[in-house]
Amino acid sequence: MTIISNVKIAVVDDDEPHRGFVVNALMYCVNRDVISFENSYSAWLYLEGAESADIVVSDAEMPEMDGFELISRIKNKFPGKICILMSGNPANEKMAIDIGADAFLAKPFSVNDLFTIVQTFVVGEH
Amino acid sequence: MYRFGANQSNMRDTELQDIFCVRLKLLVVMAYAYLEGYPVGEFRKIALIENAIQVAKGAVDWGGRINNFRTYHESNGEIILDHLFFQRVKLLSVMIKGVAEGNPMGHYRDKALRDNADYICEAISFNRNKLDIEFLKVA
Repeated sequence: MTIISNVKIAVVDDDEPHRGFVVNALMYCVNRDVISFENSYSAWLYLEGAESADIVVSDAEMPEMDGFELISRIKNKFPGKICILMSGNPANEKMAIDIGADAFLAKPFSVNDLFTIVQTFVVGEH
Repeated sequence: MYRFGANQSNMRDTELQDIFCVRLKLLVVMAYAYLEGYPVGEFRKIALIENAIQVAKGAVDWGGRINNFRTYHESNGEIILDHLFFQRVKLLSVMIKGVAEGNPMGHYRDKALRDNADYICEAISFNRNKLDIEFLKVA
């Protein structure tokens, strides 16, 4: 079993109730603080800094800088970071592949999907 | 690329009702994880309290209509998501907050927590045995 110790996760979503749930579930899973941002630009400023995050979970559709641009920037500058794109639009799945996202999280998703993500990328069981 | 979540044909934007449903399921998982002795660390306590607060806020009577819950009782024409259901949801929230805040539990409180979680699982047809939560042992 491979484990990312002291994993840092960032969640980017302009929808507060949705973001709150994802943060809550992931914080519970990993028992670590989970950073959250309501827009991509703030997330990008943070991710460029020294602290950064190992895993970024971003919504696709957000005003100004969307999730695609955010993940493209991250993958260009930090290819080792794990990027997960969330969307309720089937058309966005192919775009997620094109920008190099590591996973696509199709809305609406379940608690189990978030557990599986942690098992896949943090615990390394899948 | 990995893929998680809804099937392509079921994809749509998440609504408040969906968030209430998944938060409630998370709360149930939290209850069983506690009862089964999984470790509750510092950030898990924060997550327990926040989730309990949000579920309690959302536990208003939805008039028996929550689209994602298709229960045995509903299919038989009974309405299970009634006033009692939402009071039990609120009770579960209080119980989980109590766990997180370190309130003394003991045999009877544990039993009450399990009974309440079992009732809610039955009402929403949530089979928590399908969830693999072994990884929660790592805290």
